[in-house]
Amino acid sequence: MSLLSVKNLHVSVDGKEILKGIDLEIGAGEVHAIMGPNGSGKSTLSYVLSGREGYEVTEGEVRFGGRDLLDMEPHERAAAGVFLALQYPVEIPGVSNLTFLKTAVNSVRKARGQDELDAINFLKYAREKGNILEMKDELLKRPVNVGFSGGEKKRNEIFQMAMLEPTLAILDETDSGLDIDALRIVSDGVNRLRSPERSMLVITHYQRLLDHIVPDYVHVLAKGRFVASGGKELALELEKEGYAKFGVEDDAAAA
Amino acid sequence: MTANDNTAPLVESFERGGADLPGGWLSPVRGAAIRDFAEAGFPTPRTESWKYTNLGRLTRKDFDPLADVPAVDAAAWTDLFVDGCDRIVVVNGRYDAANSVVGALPDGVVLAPLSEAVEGAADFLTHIAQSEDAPLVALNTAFMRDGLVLRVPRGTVLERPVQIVHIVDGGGTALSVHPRTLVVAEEGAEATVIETFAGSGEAGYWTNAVTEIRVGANARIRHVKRQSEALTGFHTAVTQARLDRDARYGVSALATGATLSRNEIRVSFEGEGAECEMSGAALLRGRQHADTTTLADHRVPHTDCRQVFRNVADGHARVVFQGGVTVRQDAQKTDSSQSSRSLLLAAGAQADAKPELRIFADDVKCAHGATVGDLDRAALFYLESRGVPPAEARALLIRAFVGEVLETVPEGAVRDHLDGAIAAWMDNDGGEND
Repeated sequence: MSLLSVKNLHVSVDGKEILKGIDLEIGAGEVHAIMGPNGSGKSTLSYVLSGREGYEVTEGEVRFGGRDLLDMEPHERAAAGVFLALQYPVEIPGVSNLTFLKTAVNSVRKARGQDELDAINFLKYAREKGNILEMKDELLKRPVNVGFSGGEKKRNEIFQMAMLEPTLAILDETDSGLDIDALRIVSDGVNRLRSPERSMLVITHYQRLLDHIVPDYVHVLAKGRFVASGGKELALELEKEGYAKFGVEDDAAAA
Repeated sequence: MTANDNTAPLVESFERGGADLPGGWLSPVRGAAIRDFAEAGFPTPRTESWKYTNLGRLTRKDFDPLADVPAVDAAAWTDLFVDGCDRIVVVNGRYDAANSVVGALPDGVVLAPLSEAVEGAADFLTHIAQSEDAPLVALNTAFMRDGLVLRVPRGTVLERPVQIVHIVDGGGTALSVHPRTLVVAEEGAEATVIETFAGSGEAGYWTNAVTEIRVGANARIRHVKRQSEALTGFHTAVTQARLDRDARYGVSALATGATLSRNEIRVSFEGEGAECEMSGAALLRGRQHADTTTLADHRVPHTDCRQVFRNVADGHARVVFQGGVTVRQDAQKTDSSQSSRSLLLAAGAQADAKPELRIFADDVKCAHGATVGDLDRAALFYLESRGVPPAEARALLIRAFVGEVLETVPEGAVRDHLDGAIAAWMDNDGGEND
């Protein structure tokens, strides 16, 4: 049985249909990549899976671990094991990264029936996970994402993912705007989190990321529909020939 | 102004029992004050500085300033006592020796309840707080019975903070109390003063407090106020501070209680190089109303003031901030800034912010900013997507919003005291929100 099962998903934003019938099955431990030009609906898919308000499902269903995902609140999805690394991580002045993470980790632990971590054990856990992402202590003490560089913000996302131990991690354009060093740190972090119990949905505009995080399956999204699906070689094909092969215009990817 | 009919019961009370109030030298001062009050009447929204706050709900009730009520055991309120402080407790307007603690003090320090120290306080008491155009100060002067007198002599540093706790519980009696605090720090002296207000009582009550502070040359006073009155209570207060040369005065006021409250902070810069940090937060819900009105009065050159206020209103609450800055003609090189932000958590909540800058000097730096908004939805989603339940996510963001105000308060027991009020407010969420 698939961990995530998306059937004929139609989603509208402000009355405009963005996703026009998505079918997607992700099994345990599989890494799927979704590629597509700007405006194809990639981020909409990530938001609707994580439960952000303002995305109206007009048709179709999504099941996660056998449960109706669309019926769950965002925090319930997180507790159930869904994690979204945002394309644009949000700054929260006045809340330290550590407080934020401690609240989050203990919230999901509580919901999962695990004991909450006390301050000392939490700090130990945070340092251990932080090392994977080369997170400096200073970044833990600062307010969430405030004054972080682009690379630090993305690293912070993957750090949160490491802390929350999801079964489905959705990475929404985690590579955008990263230089090659930052990309290496982030993708190394992601790779260390790969496991047979953890599935990933890697959403990206660029093939480059998939050199580092090698997917099992690749889907091409255009105008709200998958226009092609295949193995990792599909990404290379896209890199070489551009989205035009699939009847889609996209200057950025073709360049 | 013409006399207000609703002043009559108070004037009659004074004529009946005013002579029994402490302080022989104060008698004529009290007499003059009650006449000033009767002449001015209660403030009304017709006065510009009371534009947003109508005391009608208060003045319609007859709160008795001289009522004799059964003693209340302050022991039920010990969670308001800040550890490691010298403490004066005043219950229903009267000194409560049993719950007060004053340890060994450096030579020359006076730390005593007003009722015991009033005779020796004639040089400053009633001279710092202006009663002109301030009828509630005049009323307090007429009826003041107890409170705190703190005098720190030249060059003396008080290691322990001083806490004055006011508790009102009149049971079935609608009581009014008029506490007065006097703090005088002589040259180079340092002290921290915490004022805590709380109460209960089904009949409701009214606290009308006045705090007079003189910060001498190069002296430092850190002043923290926690207003946690019962929701049946009314709270009106004026703090007047006068700052000498190079004085440092920091004041942080937190309000979560009272059905209606007004906290006025007036700081007068009277010596060059004086600096003040003024901050505060109000967290309200239900039909609470809280008004914070400030005045930074720069009278001489080279003085600095920073005002930071954060307000949160839920339900149908209304929160008011009037931030005054006056820079007199001689007060060149003044640096006075003001930031007020209000967070509205419900459609029925209301915020009014009125910066009032009167600048008569030409070489000054004055900045002000006021915003009103709701919780950042992107931040809420971010927290929730990490597993934080919505109520906790809101609490975290609200706490962060008011956090800037606490940053100016010394860490440890004093900051915890304010934090405790915020936590209690959060815990009551959903309770009396109509």
